[in-house]
Amino acid sequence: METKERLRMTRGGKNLAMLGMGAILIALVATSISLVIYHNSGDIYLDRSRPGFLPDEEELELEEITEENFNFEKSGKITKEVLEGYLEHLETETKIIDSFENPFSLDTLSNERLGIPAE
Amino acid sequence: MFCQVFVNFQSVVAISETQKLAIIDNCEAIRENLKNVQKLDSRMRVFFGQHFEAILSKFIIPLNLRLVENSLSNTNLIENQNEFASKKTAFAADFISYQQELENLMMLDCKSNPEKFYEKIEVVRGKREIVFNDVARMKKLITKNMQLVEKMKAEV
Repeated sequence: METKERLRMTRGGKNLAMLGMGAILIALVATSISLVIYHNSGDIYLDRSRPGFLPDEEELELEEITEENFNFEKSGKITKEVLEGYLEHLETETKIIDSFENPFSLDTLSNERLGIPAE
Repeated sequence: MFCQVFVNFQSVVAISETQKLAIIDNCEAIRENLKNVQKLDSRMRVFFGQHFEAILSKFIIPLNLRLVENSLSNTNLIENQNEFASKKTAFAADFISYQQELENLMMLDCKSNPEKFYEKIEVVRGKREIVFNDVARMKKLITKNMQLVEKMKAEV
């Protein structure tokens, strides 16, 4: 009777260990697949929460200052004043965009900038 | 019977001996430079992505909806909206493509294979130019939107 009890417990212990290992294996496989998808889909390049790409403090301050909270109402009358307001706020937004001079400038990867002689 | 001959063309970017030596000597500095470019570009993408999204969702779309409500729907403004939305999606896709190439470039060993490294730089330059053009086009679309609204304002 005691031997049977001991046997049942050993088998139970083994099953538990196998369950644990199986769970870890599934977790590893699932994580690997999601990382591959994350990389291949290109989302990794849009994600700034990864190490080395987090925004700097000054950048966060600048984002707070330059945030335009205007929301043009989807419904209501259309008058000259309404359209003037639209243009005024869009102008502000445009100025914020233009504050980033020469975005993705072609010079950045020029030979000169990379330290490669012209010829 | 047709015989098909497959010829494998390998694009070869000719670089001079001076350039080759410069790439080998400055390999680490070039890599560091590229790392900084990658970081700055990521920052720019977020900046422009957020603002383009804001312009589309807080300005362009609501305006067109309101115009429809007032039976003042303008085909040019709707076309402008569609093109803006489409270009915004293209900008994200082109940026991903550019960053993938930049990452591939950074993984190359510039000391042992400077020719291949330089060839890859040319590819990355091409991809970056596409992104540059995307942003320029989006800015033009915003300007066009403002011009159309100005015209509408005069007619209201």
